[in-house]
Amino acid sequence: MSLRNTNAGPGIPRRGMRLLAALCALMLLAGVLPLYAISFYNHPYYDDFTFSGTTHDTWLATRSLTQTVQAALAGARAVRADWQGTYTGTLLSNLQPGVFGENYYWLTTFLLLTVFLLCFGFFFHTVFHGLLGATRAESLCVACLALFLMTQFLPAANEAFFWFNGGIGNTFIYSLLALSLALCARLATARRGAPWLAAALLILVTLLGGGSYGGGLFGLLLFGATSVYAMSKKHKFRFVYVALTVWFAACFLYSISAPGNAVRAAMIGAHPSAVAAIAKSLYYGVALLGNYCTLPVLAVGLALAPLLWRLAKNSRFRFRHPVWVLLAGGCLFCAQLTPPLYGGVFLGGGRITDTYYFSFVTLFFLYETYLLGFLARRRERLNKPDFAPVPALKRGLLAASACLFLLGCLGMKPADATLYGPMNMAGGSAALSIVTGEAARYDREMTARETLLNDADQSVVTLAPLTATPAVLMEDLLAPGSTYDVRPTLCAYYHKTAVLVEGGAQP
Amino acid sequence: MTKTISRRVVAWLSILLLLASVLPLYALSFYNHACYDDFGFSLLTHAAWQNGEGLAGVLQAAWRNTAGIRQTWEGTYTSSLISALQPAIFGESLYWITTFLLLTAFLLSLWFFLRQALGGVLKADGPVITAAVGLLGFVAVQFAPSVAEGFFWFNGGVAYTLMASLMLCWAGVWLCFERAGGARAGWLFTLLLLLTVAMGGAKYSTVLFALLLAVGFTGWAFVAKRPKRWAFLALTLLLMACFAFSVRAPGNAVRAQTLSGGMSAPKAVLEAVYFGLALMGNFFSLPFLAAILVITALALPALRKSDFRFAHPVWVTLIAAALFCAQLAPTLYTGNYLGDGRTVNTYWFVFVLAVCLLAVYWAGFLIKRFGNVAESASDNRRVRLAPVLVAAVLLAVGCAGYRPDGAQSYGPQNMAGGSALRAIATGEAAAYDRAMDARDALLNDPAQLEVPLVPVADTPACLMGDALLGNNVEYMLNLYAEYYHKSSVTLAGGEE
Repeated sequence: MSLRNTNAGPGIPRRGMRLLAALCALMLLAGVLPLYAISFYNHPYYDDFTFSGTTHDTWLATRSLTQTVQAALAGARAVRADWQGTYTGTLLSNLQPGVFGENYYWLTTFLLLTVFLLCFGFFFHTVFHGLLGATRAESLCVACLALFLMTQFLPAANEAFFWFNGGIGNTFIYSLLALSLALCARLATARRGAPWLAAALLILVTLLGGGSYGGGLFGLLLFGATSVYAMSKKHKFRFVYVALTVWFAACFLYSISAPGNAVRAAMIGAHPSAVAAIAKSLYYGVALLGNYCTLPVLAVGLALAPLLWRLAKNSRFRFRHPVWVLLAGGCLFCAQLTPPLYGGVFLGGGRITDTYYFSFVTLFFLYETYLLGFLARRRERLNKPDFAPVPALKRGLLAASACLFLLGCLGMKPADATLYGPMNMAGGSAALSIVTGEAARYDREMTARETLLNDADQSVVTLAPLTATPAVLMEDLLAPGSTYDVRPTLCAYYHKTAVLVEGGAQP
Repeated sequence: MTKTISRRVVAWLSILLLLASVLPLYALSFYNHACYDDFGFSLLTHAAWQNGEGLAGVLQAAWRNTAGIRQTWEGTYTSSLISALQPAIFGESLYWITTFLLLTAFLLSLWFFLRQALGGVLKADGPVITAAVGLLGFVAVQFAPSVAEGFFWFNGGVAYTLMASLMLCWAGVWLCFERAGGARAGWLFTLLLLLTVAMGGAKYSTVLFALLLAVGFTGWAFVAKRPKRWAFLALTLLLMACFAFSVRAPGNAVRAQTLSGGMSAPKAVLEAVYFGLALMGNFFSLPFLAAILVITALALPALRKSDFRFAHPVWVTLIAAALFCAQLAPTLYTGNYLGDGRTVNTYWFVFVLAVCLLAVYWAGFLIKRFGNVAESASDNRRVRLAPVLVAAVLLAVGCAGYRPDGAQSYGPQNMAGGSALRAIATGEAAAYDRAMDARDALLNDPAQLEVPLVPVADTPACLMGDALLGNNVEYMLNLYAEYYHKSSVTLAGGEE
């Protein structure tokens, strides 16, 4: 069975579509380049130190990568016993770039953001080019627009792309999930190379099983749904899908059965019952869906509608159950929220809500395609004439979408911002920090701190609170009123007797 | 067979939604108390009432107060005059009238304006108007940027919400006058003259918007050679004269000195364009989209039958956007950024109405241009169920996802009605009322000339916070002392 569409039909002229694709790619590039640029000013933060203390010591003592990795494995085992079982995130967190020198911390963004762009880009390409028969330029358009939304309007860019510990357990895991789903789709149509795809998927689900619990549950449900679909269609690789799902479930169970989870839960305190957590996840899931439906998202949806209509109409899918698919998609989305709600941490930190946003944007475009496919099929069933928007209507729609999109960007104002505008988007914020010198000042002050902390002659160091922190980088935990006190962690990581704050201020 | 629903049912469901959502606001008003500038603007009128000068004396005092404010603060005579008549001067327990006046006036003027714009001009039938009033009223009130300043504070609400309501009435009468003939046209013109004079004394952002509307309409009337074009010109000139009288008040210069950070006129215009567009982008929400979808769907039969060509959607959109942005220029020019919550409320109201009317215009354009896009229905009394259900789901999901700045969580409890209901149900409103009643009792006790006051910390989100917890505590204490004739009013424990 081949799911790939071979009858794409006429669309916007190829040259025009290529130009559009190039514009979309340029827009994405303009959005993410400042993020890469500001990464050179970034420094390790909080749990980066907590997780990688041992590996840091090992690296300093041996300068051996092998021994450092061994130390990371040992560290991951220890964390499993006394904090949490998410082995993928824990293992990789032990190897945060700052271990090898604080000036390598820029690798964090290069790793997290690049993997994110590649994996999700590959996913969109697989779905729209591979399954729905879009041209490369068309799938590039969809991918770039979706990725632009995901990288610029996400709830907390700092925790997603600028904090290794936070990003690796969430952003990175969702990137791998997107990759694994794309590979699942490739496996469905694979004629050669299926064993390699299965092997790659095996590795990926092993990693996903040790990712965040929200992402793990979400991924497991997606794999479960894929297996059920494959079984119902008697797909030739159905047992591969089932085996992968079972292995995923085993890894996930291994992760949640870690003794450390109980220790962590005891520290967090009260949490709701499982039933209450599910009910709450349904409520807050729907709430988040409503909250994420912003003008930029809807404008992009509107701009892509003619393309998605044509792709869906010319595809071989029947799109028969829009309501059930909507409900199933909604439930899947809500399922991600259950683990943090059950764990008593409400919806989770910014790094976790970022992953909800990633899944929202992805599901939004997939569902839009499904819905348009349903409407197209309905017209066919009712023997209505083929609805092919005239070029003027298409151009008008595109212009209207662009205007709405610009309005949405201008109207962007997070809760803590005072002004409206694109400078509140991740890329805009990073660019502004670089241009105004805020990032450079942050870098200078953090470098001065690290020089003191790395000075082996000083057992007691006094650090000054930062005078500037770019919004896309993590906050200063030595500032008065900080969420956490980072000083004990710094003491342990840099082997200091005490870390004091200049002026006696208490974080 | 396509499932349909009666358009009347949709309309009445919309009205029910509006009623259910505003009832908690009316209920909460019974716990409300006067705040801040309520006292400052009504010192003379309160004294007149206390001295037994009666209603006539109070009105004279209000007039004197307005003349005084013109010399010392600002020239917005209509809002100054009405502000002097805040309900608490007749007794603090009457302050609930504030919400009853502001909210009711707003909803009624919304109904009147939509009746003229949709019913009178577009010839839309009752269900369209009813649904538009219900849904737009719901969205405008429930998602207003500052419900407290819009509907629960007399001084702030009169200056902005009531003046916005007045503008809606004025615009509605204007549209009515355009179509009227005979004696009716005569008394409508007289009414318009009165309303225009009142409009001229509203806040500058509102008057500027109204003036631009009037200029635009008059210009169109001359181009189209409308029979009442000279009457429109007279009204526009009158509004201009009233606006000039208001702007030239000596008090404006005094006020300007207290505000810093004003800017040049061209810069203010540019910033108004930028922030106007930004506000439009920021104001968009799922519930609003749902409301527009329903109203447009209901208006389709009227649009199909309409004689209008809807030929210039882009120009109309650009003009509407420019008008919207123009409102922001006065506050930006005076260095007050976009203004406080009560000012932003008026931008929100204008946005809701303008976008709805634009959506209807665009739908008309699409029907006339691509007739097959909206196929004619066999029965104009019914509308397809599917889009109504989709809109209902969008509305529900949007309400669930509503989370204004500073809110802890998502949900309808953050909407005006939900917030008011919660404040009443949890007893927060009653506790606030008790604490404020105790304060009023102390201040009204003639035996006590030196009154220590305890700040009230827990205020329902829909009500104004205690001014004694704000930045101008000293000013507020002096205001209390002057208003209640005390030798001194201090903070209990000497805190400031």
